Amino acid sequence: MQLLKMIFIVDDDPIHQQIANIMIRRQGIGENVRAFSDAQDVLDYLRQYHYEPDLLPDLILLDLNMPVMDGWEFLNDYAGFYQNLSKQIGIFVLTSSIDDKDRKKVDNYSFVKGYLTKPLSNEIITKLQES
Amino acid sequence: MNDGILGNVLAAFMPALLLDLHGNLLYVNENASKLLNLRERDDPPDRYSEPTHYDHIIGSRTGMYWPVISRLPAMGLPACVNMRCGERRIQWQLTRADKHYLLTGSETVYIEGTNLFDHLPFGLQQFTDNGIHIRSNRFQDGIWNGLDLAPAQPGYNFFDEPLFLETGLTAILEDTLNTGQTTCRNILLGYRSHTGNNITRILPAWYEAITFTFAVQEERQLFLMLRDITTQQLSTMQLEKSARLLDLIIEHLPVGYIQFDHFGFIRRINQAQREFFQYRGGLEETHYNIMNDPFARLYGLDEIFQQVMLNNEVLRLEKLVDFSRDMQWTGQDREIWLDLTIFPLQDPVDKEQIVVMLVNDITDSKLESQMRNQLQRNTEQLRLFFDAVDMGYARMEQDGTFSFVNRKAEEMAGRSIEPGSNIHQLIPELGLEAAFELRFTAALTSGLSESFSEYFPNWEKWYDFMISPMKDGSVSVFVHDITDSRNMQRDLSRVNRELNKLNRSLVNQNQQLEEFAHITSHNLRAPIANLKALMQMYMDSVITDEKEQYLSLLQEVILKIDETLNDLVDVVQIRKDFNVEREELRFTERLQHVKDVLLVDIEKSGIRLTTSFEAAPVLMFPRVYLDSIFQNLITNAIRYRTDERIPCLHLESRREGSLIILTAEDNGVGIDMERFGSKLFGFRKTFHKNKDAKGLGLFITKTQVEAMGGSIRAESTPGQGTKFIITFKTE
Repeated sequence: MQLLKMIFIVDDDPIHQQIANIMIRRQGIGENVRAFSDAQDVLDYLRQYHYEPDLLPDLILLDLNMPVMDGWEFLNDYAGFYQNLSKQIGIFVLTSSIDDKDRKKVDNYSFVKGYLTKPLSNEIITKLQES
Repeated sequence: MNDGILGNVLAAFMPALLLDLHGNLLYVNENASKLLNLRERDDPPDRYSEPTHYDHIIGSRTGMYWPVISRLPAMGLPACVNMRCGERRIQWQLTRADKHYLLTGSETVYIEGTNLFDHLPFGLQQFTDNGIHIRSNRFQDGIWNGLDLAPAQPGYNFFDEPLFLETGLTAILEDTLNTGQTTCRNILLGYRSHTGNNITRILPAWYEAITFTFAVQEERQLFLMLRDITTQQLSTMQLEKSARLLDLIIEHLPVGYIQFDHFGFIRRINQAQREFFQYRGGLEETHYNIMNDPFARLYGLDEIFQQVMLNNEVLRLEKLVDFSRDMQWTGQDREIWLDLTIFPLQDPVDKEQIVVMLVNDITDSKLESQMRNQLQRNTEQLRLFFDAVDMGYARMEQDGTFSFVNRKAEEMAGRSIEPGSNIHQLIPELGLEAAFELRFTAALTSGLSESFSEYFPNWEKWYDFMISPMKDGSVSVFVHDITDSRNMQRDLSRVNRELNKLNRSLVNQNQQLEEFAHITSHNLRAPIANLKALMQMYMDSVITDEKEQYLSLLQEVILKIDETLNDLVDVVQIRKDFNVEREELRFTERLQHVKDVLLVDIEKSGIRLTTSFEAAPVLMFPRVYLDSIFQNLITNAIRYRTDERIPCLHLESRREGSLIILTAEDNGVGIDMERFGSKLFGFRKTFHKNKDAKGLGLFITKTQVEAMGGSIRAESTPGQGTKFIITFKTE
């Protein structure tokens, strides 16, 4: 089992951010969990440190429904530069939407590792680690 | 003395006159004076009271005057003169006796019975074979008189008479003389005038002349008998004329005339018949017989002939005869309708039974009558057709006089319409005020059909008219009752409107359902997921601090859910009030109300509000909604103002057809429409970091506008401002 050094939570819901943070840390799969309310901030960060693998996250939990920049915009932008990143980042969509359309749409992004629906649970977090 | 006695005796019997050598009367005896109507006397007569000369007594009455007769004895000729004396005819004989002349009269020798001779009912003339008059009876004298002839005059010779030469009388006299035979001939001797009833007619004088010779006292004498046959002759001529006329008439009759004898042989064919049937000739000579001619028998003409003969009756019949089947008698080679009249007659002369057939070609009139029948049938069928169709039809003159009206049109007009009546008088509903009158005139002027519909309140009917001027100058009017279809159309469009409304509301509701599905998935599932997670975490934890932290988070989530649910309830309420009551709202008034409510926010932001509601000052709309719309628009303008300039909001209303457009244009931060256009009016959609934004205002506004059948959209240039355009339906 590999310890995930850095995990990004991208979600505008502060409660969810806290829940995710707590659950991940309690599960002990990662120590450094950072939460972002604005997806644009994440993109800026990745671009800034794309050549520094130690500063790049291992995992991103991405919400789809967000103000200003939503998950889709993020994915579209990310698709344009993720191959330049010096580290392979695992991206999971974590959403409250159970809409099949959304699930299928996500399948188009090959670099997204999975489509997860809220709420988070220990089982889901364990799976994240295994991936 | 014997002579004296004899003389006395003679004087007593014989009439005698004694004349001197100059013809002066010396003595007249009793007999002579009676005959000549003279007074008997011895003395020289009284010169003043009596004629005393031969010429006076006899010459002037016979034409034989003294100078002539007194010379005859010297020439050895008998000096005789005949003279009518009363009832008697006397021949006076002149004899010379010394210095005197003696004139003795002797009664002329007659054939037995003078009376008979004179009373014969025809003229009889006796004369010598050399043409000298001997005597004539009274009838004959009358004839000569009428012709102004005096054959008894001395020296007159019948053979020299020009009239006789001319009329041929001389010829038959000579003929009789030459042959000794009795000759007879009808002769027109001249003309006579007849006066009767004040009219004078010149008529021909026809006589039957019979001449014969007869020897009287060994002298051959000629006799001429003249019998007046003018009457017979005239009637004979009349008869001949009539016969000729009849003949001509028959010959030139415009119908065919065929005369048969009682055996059936043709005796006569008139010209019309010959020409008409193009007879090849020879019918008369070849003994055509109707009883055995195959062509005649083919059409049963032999039987008809027999029927006429036996029953002695007139038959008239029409027969279609195909003349191309006869090769022998006629050149005619087509089918002809014949009108045959066949009747029996008795020949007036020889009393034989004959049959006459009158033949008339009625092919044309037959065809014409067939055509007329056909036409009449067609007309009747047309009439039936027009009565059967479910459409009013009337034909009229240009002045509106009906010539034909079908039953349906009468039903439509609600009265019976007689041909000859006038539409303007009979149906006032179509006159003056009605469009019919105008269109009727227009159709007549242009010569083109006019179609239009008109409503008649009296009848509660919609009628569709077509007025067609016809080539023959009449006008045809077609009327169709479209009341039902009009009503149906009205009902249909009402139903259609309702359906549209229903459809719109269904689409609306469907959209709302989708939105609600979306809202529940995004806006309710998310916090509930949080609840679930927090509960799990709470259960799993054994640490009191942690548990408390989870509980406070739980509370936060629950509050959030409550808030969301309340928002949703608001929205649902708007949508539920689909038929919320509209009222007449003045934009200015409602805006003032909202400005009062938002007074503090407006003051703080320093926003400038300008309006332009003059073009469309009033709107029929639910008051609460309009207030809410104004509130959201103003709040948005305040919330998304920019510090770079004084915030402004311009509200304007205008009318576009049946729509009222309300625009709200600010000079705030603007929106990236390309990026956020789809989210602008969404539920709880925010696209900026403004913490006051709940993503609810425009969603509510949209819901309220759409609930009333309107729409909302936005135009914006980021950094410059935003313009919201709301379209209201006025109905």
